[in-house]
Amino acid sequence: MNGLILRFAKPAHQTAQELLPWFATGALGARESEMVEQHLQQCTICQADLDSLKAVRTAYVGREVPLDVERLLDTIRPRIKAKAAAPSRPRKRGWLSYVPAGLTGWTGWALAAQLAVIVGLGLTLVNQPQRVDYRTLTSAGVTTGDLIVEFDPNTPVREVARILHKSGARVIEGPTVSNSYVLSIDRDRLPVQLAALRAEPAVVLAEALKAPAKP
Amino acid sequence: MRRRQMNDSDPAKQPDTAQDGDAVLLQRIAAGDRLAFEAFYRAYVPRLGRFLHRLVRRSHVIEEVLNDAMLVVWRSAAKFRGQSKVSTWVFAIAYNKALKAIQRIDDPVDSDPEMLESEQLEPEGYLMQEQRTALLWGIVDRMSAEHRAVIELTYYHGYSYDEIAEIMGCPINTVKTRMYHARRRLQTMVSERMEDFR
Repeated sequence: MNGLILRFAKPAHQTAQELLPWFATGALGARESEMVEQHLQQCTICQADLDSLKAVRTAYVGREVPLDVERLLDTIRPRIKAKAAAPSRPRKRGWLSYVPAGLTGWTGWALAAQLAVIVGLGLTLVNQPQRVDYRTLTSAGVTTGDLIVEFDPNTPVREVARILHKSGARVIEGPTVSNSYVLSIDRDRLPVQLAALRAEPAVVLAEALKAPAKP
Repeated sequence: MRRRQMNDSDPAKQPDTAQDGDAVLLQRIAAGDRLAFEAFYRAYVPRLGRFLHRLVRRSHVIEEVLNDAMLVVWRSAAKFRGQSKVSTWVFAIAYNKALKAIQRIDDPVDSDPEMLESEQLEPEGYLMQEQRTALLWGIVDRMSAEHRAVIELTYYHGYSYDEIAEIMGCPINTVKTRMYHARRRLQTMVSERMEDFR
């Protein structure tokens, strides 16, 4: 036995009673409508119920509910404009408003992430010439500075900055994990600056990377 | 009101030009077309307003729920997949918003002044159409929101039982059962005045 057999096993009167409201409104399919019509021909109870139902429905439908649609539309427009009017005010646009409709959810974020990676790689390429002169000491390549200075790891950053500024040197590389810097300095002043750096308590090591300029 | 005549066994599969037009509007709304939204709003608000009036029955709440529902349409138009009719999708949004509003206002149905007024009406010879309507609305107002919704969606909006099930998010048999009991209750309460309804 399946559901279809059970459906037809339901008494015709009960089925007709359930369907009468939609029979009255014309919202039944042809097969169900025909079934109700056949039952009505032989059931005075359902005939009376249908008459009653039609009368009640006619009275119930009654009148339209007066609504000032334009006034209501005016109240919702500002909330709609907030979304749609953004392109006309570019200075106030959030970056999210540039995302086209449909690119919301995870797809939008995935595309944004890809874009960020591409932009990042692009910036890396663009900035490469400026970064030739600055490398960490652990990176491969040739060191082009004049001296190396290593600070006590416990030296505050402010103190390191003070010493470097005082030396008049330019930082080429660093800091490394051992808090070392490669500095570029006027080679004529190298011996004096080495002595000055070595005099600083925070300086652990200060050595020339090239021979001092010959007089 | 007869919304349409059914000639096939499955009413939901009937071609419907109005529904096609609504679907096109919805696509434009999904693309951010404000004019399309306004056209959609003007087409649906009278119907939704009547539905919410019968369901919520508080004018200030009706307008709030109405615009909340239409804002969902504006924001979620792209989510409409065409698996149902546009109108049932919109009515389902409004129905859910209305149920939440009804829970929030926590105002007993019996205290509705309009309903109490209608209950005090006594037929003298015959009731005018407006009075009959007020009487019936007063009776229906005493029913649960779910029963009110089934009555309204069937009698006024002409939806089929499967469309109502879709709007209310419940099984078809639940719709039939609710309608059966609501109709019985209505008939019982107006039976003494049946002459006035002929």
